[in-house]
Amino acid sequence: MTLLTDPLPLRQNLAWGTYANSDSAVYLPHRYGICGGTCVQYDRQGTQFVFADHPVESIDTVLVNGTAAQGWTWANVTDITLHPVAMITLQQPVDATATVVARGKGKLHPRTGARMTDPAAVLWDVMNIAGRNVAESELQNFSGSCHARGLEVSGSIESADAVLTICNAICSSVGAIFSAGAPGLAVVWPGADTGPSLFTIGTQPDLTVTVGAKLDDIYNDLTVRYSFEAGNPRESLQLEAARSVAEFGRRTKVLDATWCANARTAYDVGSRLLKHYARAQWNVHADGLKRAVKIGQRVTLVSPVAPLGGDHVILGTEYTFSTARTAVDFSAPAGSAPSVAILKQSEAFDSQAVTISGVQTVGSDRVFIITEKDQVTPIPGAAVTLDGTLTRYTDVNGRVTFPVSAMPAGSHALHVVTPDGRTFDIAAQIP
Amino acid sequence: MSLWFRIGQRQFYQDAGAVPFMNPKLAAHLLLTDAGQLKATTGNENASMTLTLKNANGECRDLFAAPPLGQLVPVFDNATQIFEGRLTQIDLSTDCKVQVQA
Repeated sequence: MTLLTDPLPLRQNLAWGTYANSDSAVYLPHRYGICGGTCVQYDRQGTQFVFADHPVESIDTVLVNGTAAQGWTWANVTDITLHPVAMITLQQPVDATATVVARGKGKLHPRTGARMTDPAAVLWDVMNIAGRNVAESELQNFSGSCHARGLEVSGSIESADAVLTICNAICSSVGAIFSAGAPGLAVVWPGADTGPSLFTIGTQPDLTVTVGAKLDDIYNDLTVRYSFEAGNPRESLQLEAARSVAEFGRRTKVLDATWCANARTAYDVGSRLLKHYARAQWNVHADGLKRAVKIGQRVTLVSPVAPLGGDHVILGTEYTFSTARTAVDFSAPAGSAPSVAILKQSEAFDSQAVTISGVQTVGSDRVFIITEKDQVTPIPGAAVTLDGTLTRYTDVNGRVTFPVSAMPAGSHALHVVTPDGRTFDIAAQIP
Repeated sequence: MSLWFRIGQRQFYQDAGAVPFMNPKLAAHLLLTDAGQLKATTGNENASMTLTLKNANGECRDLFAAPPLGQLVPVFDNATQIFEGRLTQIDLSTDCKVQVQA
C-alpha cells in the first residue's frame, strides 16, 4: 500500500524493456474526462505512441509538433507486457525529438463503462492505483453530493505526484475537502449539506473554545481558472460578492482548479467559496472533547464566549492519547451569505487562443483561415458561428467562407468550436 | 494615562480616567484590560498593536457577533490619539484580543 504522502506508483515506459523506445524513463499517464497531453513513444520506429496507460473512450485529435496529424488511427490494445493501453499509430514515423500531443476522452469506469468524470470515481481510481484497496461504496455519499450539484472533473496524471497532492487537487477543484480521516474520504465543502449534527460542542466541562476572525481570510472577488491542459488554464470565471466588496473593499483571490471540467462546476465551486469567504468567518478551535470525531462530520457549537451557533463541518481533528481528549477545528461564517454574481467569463486565454488570418473577399464571399495560436497551424473541421446566427465549417486547410451579405464591413463576433471540443470567441474586423 | 479606543459606534476604556475624553453620545464599555506594545520599524513590519478586552463572561460575545474586521480603530491616551489602524483580527476565548494594524 502506498502512503498518501508517497508518489503515485505510475508505470513507466521502462516496463516495455528493449522492445520500445525506453532510453529515458517517462511516466505513463492516466487520463480522465475530456483531456489531452503529450503521448509516450512506444515503438522504436516512431509510429506508435501511448496516449494513456489504460483503455479510453476515444482519441479525437493528434498533433505532431503542433501540427494536426493526418491519417492516424487509435485503438485500445495491450502492450508487450499485456497491459491495456490507448495506442495511437501514425501514418508516417516521426523522429525521436518530435512531440506528439493528443486530446480525447479518458478512462472508462471498469464496472459501468461510463466516462469517469465523477470526482468520487476518480478519487477511488487514484486510491486503487495507489493500492489502497478502497471500496467504491465508501465514496457513495461524496459521489451523491457531486452528482446532485453536477460537479465533474477532467484531467491527466502525468507525473508521480504524491497521492495526497493529487487527491487534494481533485477535491479543491470541485470545492471539496479530502482527508484519510474523513468518512468517505471526501466531503463537498463549503456550502453543502453533510447530514445532521452529531452532537453539541460547548456544554462539556473542561472544554476550551477559542475563536478568531482575520481580515486576511476574507476575499470577495474570485477568479476560478479551469480546463487545464499541460499545466495551463484554458478557461476562467470571475465572480464577486458585491455587498462584501462594499464592506471590506475588493479582496481578490485566484483559484487554479486544475481538475475542474467545465463552467458549471467552476461556477458552483466559485459561488460556494464566495458565499463562505466573502464574509467574516470565525475559525474555531475547541479542545477537550471526550469523544472521537472525524473530519467532515457536522457538529453544533454553543459557546458562552463566542458569538456562534448553528451546525458546522469539522475541518481538523487532533486526538491526544495521554489525555484521551480530542481537539477540533472548524470555520463558521458570520452573518448571512452574500449574493454572488459573475463578473467575467473567459473561454480562452490569449496563450491558447485561436486566430483568424488572411481575410479576403472573393466574389461574394469573405474567406479567412482559422489557425492555432501560432498563426500557422490550420484547424480543419472547426465549427465557426458568425454573429450567433450562421455556422460554417473550416475545410482541411482551416479555411471558412461566409457570404458578404452576412459579413459586411465592420466588427463581427466569431464563436469557434474546434473538433477536439475547445471553444473560443474572437472578434473579426472587416475593413 | 487612561487608554481607550473606538470601533465604529462603540468605545472601550480601561478606567474612569478616560471617560471625560470619550464621546458621550457613543456606547462606552469598561472592558479594556491591556494594550500590547505599539511596535513600529523602518522595515517591512507594519506598525500594529493588540488590545485585550474582558470576555470571561462572554462580554464581547454579542458585541462582536458580526466581527468588525477592516474597520478603522483610533486608540487614545486621554485626549491624545496615539495610534490608528484597521482591525485585522479578533480572537475570543476567556478574553478578547483585538489586533489593529496601521
